[in-house]
Amino acid sequence: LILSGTVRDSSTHSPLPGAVVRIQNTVYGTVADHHGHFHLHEAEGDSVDVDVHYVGYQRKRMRIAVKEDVVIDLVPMMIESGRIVVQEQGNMSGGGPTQRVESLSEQQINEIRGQTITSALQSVPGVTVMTSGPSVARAVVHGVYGQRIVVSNAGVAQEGQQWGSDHGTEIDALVPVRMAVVKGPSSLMYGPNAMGGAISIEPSPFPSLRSPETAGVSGRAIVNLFSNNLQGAVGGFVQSVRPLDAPVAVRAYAGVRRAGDARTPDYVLDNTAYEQWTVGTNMKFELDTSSNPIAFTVDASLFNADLGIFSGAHLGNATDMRRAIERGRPADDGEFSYTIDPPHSTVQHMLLSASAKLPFNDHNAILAHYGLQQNARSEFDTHSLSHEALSLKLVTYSGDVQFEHALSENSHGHLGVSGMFQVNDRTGSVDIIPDYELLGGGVFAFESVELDNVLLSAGARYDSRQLTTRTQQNMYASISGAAGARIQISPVVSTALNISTAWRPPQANELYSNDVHHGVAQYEIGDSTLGPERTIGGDVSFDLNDGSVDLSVTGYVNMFDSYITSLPDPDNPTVTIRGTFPTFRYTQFDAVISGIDVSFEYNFTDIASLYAKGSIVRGTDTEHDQPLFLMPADRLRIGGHIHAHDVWGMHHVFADISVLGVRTQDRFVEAMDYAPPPPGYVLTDLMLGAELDVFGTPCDVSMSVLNVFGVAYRDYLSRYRYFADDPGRDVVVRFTIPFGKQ
Amino acid sequence: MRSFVTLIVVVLTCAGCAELPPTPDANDHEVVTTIELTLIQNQPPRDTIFVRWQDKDGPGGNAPDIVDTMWLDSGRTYYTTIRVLNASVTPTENMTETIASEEINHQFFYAFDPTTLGATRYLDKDGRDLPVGLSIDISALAPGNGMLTVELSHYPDFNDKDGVQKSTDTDISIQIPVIVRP
Repeated sequence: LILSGTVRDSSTHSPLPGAVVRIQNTVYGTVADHHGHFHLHEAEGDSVDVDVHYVGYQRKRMRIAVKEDVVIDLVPMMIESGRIVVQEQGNMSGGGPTQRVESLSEQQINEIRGQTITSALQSVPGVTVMTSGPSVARAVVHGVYGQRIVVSNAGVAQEGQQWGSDHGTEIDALVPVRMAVVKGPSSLMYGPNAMGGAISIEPSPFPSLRSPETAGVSGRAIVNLFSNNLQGAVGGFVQSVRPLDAPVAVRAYAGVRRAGDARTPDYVLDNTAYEQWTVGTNMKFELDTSSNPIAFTVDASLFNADLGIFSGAHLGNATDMRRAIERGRPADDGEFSYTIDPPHSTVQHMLLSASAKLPFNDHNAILAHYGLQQNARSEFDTHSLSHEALSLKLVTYSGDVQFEHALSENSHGHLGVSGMFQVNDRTGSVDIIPDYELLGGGVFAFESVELDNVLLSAGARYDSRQLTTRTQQNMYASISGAAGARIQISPVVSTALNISTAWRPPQANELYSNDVHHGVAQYEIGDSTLGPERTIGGDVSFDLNDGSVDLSVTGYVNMFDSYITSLPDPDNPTVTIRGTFPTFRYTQFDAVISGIDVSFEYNFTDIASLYAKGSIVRGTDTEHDQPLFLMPADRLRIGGHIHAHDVWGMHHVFADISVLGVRTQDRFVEAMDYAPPPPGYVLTDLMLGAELDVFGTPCDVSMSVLNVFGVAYRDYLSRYRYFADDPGRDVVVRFTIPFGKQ
Repeated sequence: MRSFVTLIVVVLTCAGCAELPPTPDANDHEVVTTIELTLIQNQPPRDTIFVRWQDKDGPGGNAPDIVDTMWLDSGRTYYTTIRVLNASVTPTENMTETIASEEINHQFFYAFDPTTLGATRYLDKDGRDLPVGLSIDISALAPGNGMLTVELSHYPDFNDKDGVQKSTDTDISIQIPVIVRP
């Protein structure tokens, strides 16, 4: 007897390739293919008990009749708060199908939403966050950050002023999206700047436009409150699916937040208040109602922020910096306020993304993307004398066309070209980055083949970049490549192996920077003779999931040839009228970054589990045989999770308590930094949540208490760590109120 | 293939329509380049000493191009005024007025190293009766040579200015070589 069928998402009805279907209490099981189809030949009797699970969805154990074409609908997980399981496919994120991709559904994000969109990713092992106060966070993936990580926003690589590590992702946390992280080179899809990984932030998918059942108007209102900086954030969206029975879906969203100064356990971080608002729309049209319709999407968004810069971190010169560090805390304890004084910066990001899918049949289609974005940033200084203001406008056009194809029943591939054009316009008195023009193009191809228990993938890409400034024109071109295999050793055990090589041309700031970075009081000098950097690396991962134990381990090594970074030049301090600054020069040397991520979860009953997640990163400058600067410290989070249905009339009740331990970063070069890395710390976080019936509407309510005991600590990757502690306890209350047809 | 051509056309069109912004970067630097000290001996023969520190192209680029040495006579006192200029633009911009108009947010600090070389005394006060340092008396003490450090502290919040404590927002910090003759 054969049991066969499809595993799909209960709301969008999209197939869930990679979903695992097992017959309970046996060793028999299978993995759904690209179309969500599965076949089980080992079923005995008229009905069997199956166990179906897929990342980001509620696990389903059910008895089904043994027949063909059964449909198993999985419900997206609402409650798996703060815990992310490995998703076994990468097509949403742009990662290879054998690469390690970790994803967060919109429902998961609702439950753990923080002040920045990046903060939701902190629970992924191997991902840490570099912060400049509460409003600015950027992801560090496997020890790599900044211009080596691409953030894809609605299918378009987000182009902000990414040269500054004090600049965030510039997407508000209230936007209705799902997210994924590719931990490892993603250059095949996103080009050279994704050599370290990619973060994909995609509009939440619409339900199927084909079925009249999904038609209707619905939406969600979100209210988030944060106690630490007395922040209120309100947002939400309204969407209409199949209005007038047309195969169209439209969504409009908005979000606004206002935050006062953040507080450490002992003092206020003066002038860290900020304001942010965003509006946007997602649209999808289908030209006909066949099973393979021509589909178009348009996404547009506008992000606006006014961010205060911590006054204790804004310094005139190196002597000021030494005095501030010696004091060990800000000069005054600060008074809480919502006022944003100079120094502050304003950011505006506009994005228009359009895509089209022209299918020929079930397996072959042309996909085209177009992106237009403008990032405008202004910085306002306190210095009355020099009126130091910096204003930057970065305009980027990008596009790609891909032919998605299946050469045979069990293979799947992409062939494409991409192009981009970017202009940066700088005004003001700070010479960190010049005016420039960047023209780029790429050609890429990748294929994957599914054999019995093995998935193989390989691809290559050629890119060229031409960078023009007033003084120089540079042309860079090279090849990236990747190959990988995922082997399903048994229904519960799989392993994956990836090798890749990627490159990145030097960026304008690395070539031409010639000014003071005030946040860190250092004089940065670019080197116009820098060449591209290249990495050759690989990762091995191992996954075990037998229903009660879920273990995954990933090890990786990335060897950099001519890694670009800035190093101090202690013999040549820069003398200026504002005093003497330590000189940092951009340079290149060989380096190796390697590490291990481990994630373990033990479900000892249906409702309770224990989990542990840890990561270790090691970076070494092999040319000078010394540690790389700013590598995340070793960390481990241990927690327990309880999840129950229908307790005192509430659905989906959960409680989660966890302890995060971070070691002192003891791998550092003494002379290279102003202060030694801060000591390690231990934080305790608590989360509670439930779905409550409020006048018949099932509202999600959750509360997090972060840093329960108000521990004063400084993270090594906090840009303010030289001068002040990180923010203390934060009680976050979140309400998600759905309305309309669900 | 048609899509490929379309894409190339799109890229090229954009390349044609948007170009490097017309305003060059070089001349919009608004910086302090020059500090001038004028010292008048307060006894006959009332010699005037003129000392200049200048980094004409602003921070970075070339090193400071003028660093005069201040020659003083031991036992004499000099009435001293300071001027702050931006010589990277033509005509030279006098920024001393800006400081004077925001005197409650600024204070100059003067220090001899070694301290035996000389002493300074503030001659001016701001609206809150705190020193500013646009005019001072310099007294030359023991013969020898060393440095005079001139610093301008900026206090974005004038409440932080107490007349003694430097701010961590230094606008100017230069060192002038000093020789005190016997």
